[in-house]
Amino acid sequence: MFEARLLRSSILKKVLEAIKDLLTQATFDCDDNGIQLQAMDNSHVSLVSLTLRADGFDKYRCDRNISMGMNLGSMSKILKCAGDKDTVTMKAQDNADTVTFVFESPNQEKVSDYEMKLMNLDLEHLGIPETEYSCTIRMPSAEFARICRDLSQFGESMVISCTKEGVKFSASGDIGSANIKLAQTASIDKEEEAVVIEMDEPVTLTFACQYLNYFTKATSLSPQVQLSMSADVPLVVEYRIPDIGHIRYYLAPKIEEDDS
Amino acid sequence: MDSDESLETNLNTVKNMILDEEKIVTYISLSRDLCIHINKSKQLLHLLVRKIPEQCPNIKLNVNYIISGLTDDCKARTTICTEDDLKNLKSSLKTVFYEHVYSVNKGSPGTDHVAYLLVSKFDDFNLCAGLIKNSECNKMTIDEIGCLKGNNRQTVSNGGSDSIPQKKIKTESKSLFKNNQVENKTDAIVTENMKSKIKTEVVSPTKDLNNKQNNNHKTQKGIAGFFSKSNNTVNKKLTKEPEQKLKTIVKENIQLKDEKMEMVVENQILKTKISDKEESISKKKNKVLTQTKKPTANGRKRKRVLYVSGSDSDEEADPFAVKEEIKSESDDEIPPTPSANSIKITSGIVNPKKRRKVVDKTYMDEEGYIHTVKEEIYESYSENEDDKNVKQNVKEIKVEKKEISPKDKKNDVIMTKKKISPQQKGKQATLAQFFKKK
Repeated sequence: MFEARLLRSSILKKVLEAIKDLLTQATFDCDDNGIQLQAMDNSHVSLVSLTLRADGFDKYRCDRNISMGMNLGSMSKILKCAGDKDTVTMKAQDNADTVTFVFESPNQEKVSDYEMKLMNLDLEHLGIPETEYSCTIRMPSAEFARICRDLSQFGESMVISCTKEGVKFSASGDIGSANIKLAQTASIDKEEEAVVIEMDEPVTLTFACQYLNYFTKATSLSPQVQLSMSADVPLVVEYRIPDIGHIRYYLAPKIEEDDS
Repeated sequence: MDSDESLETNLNTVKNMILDEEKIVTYISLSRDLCIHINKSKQLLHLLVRKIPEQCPNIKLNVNYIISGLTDDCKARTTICTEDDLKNLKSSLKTVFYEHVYSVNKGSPGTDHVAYLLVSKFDDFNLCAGLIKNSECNKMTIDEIGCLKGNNRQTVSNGGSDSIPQKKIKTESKSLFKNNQVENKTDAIVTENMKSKIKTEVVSPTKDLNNKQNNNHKTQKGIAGFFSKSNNTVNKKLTKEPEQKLKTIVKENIQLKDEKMEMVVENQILKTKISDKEESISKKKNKVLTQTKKPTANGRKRKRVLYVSGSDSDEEADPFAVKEEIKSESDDEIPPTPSANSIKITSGIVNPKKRRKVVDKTYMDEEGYIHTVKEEIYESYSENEDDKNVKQNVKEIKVEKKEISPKDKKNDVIMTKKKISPQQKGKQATLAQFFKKK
């Protein structure tokens, strides 16, 4: 039997909001360590990796490893039925074909349960090696979301260039070009508002703005976002979910063609 | 003389009707039966009333008279009465408009009131001037009349006496006479009454029944919703046979179309040869039109190849003659189904203003197998340098398609789009290029 209880359903709601636009369906792999999700979007350009540790749940029980294939749109609809302050409990029997979501109000006067059918998904799982990235940028998630939104108006691609001077976001299109430079924050009053750049080698990569805008749906999960880049390696956009885990987005860069 | 003879014959016929056939003869029915004027029928009846008692004193006749006049109150009054009552009525009327025999019949006066209802057709009212008409008369339908007849029959069968139905009629007629004023109206007034009565007749009880039936039908529609499922099955069964017929017809059509396809293919080959020759001779004079029709509803496609030549010297290239030869061959033999590689794709662009495009098209053969065939389609486009560049790029991308894996197709599409826009960089890679499957 599987049972996981979260005191704040808002976390799970925000997680679903962060991934449902990118993924239509995904498999939640549950084991003793927690819940993990890994899935690529339909175009196989981006990958979502979600980790929710068992210690972050109020109550967590997983007798056997269980993989639950779910339609994320349906799951999002169910989670919208929960109040932000409600507790959410996910239950599933071993070898069951349904999962139950139970929402309890803080005063426990209202208890709602929703049963959703599971799916047998045969999705590809990619092995993601642990990589040391040339550049790591930590910045406010809201700032990153704003940059992605603004630059996407100028072009379909965004160039992220990390140098000694700082990080530069560029885009160009029919109407013109745009550049946003962020320098490392000198004095750090609030860690959440700081821009921290760790660079071993300068890196310049081009990415599709569309996918970056999808990634920024997770802004509400964390006040900070971490961008990790290396040459000819997918970009990693990571949002840490306080006390429970993280959500990572991998985005393949755009490669210039050789005209010769 | 002739009139005397006709008068005698009419008299004889009326005698027969009254004495032999024992009919109730009114002046109206007499004029209709003998096709004579009403005045003549009145005269006939008047003569009869005098002659029959002289000739046959044993026979009792029941004669009713109609009298119309002004009363002392200055009201018009028309009354049917017997001979005995006639004098009294005459004296009661201030002015007498007319007085004549209304009806004559053989027998007792008990049945005389039936004469008042002797108009066989309600529609005859318009034809009868001076007709007595009861204002409260309602047109009875055939069913209602039949019910009355049936009631009379029932009473006859039960009681066995004729007096009961007579009594019924008497009471009805008496009530009619007591309660209603009989008015003598002209044709125009009669028609108006007809219309008014017809208007009242619009809301007849039968129509209410019809409404009820409609309401029931509406409710039945709801019920029909439950039964419609089974009816559909019945309909499906019924439609199976025509569907089978359709299938056979479709198969035949497919066969014909296969033959046509082959003809079109061969024509294409010939056409390309011809077009190559023409290009060498003159491009401006000759026009070659190729039209491709959209695939039909069942997925089949048809091609029509038209050739219009402006020059007289090109007698060699006469596609119509070639076509006829092909047709004649195809009529005798059943050609084999075309294989996927049998269709040749022509090279080169025939019309510089049109662009050749290779498209995969599918069709179904006799056995129901679906074949995918590559065919040429000529699309019109404007001559611009950018288009030429796009052509070159398209060619390059086509070459590259063979090398790149199918997963990268979308990337290729994105890449082509990127190429068209001026300031885009790079081709989108996928994660499969960086990460391996577990």
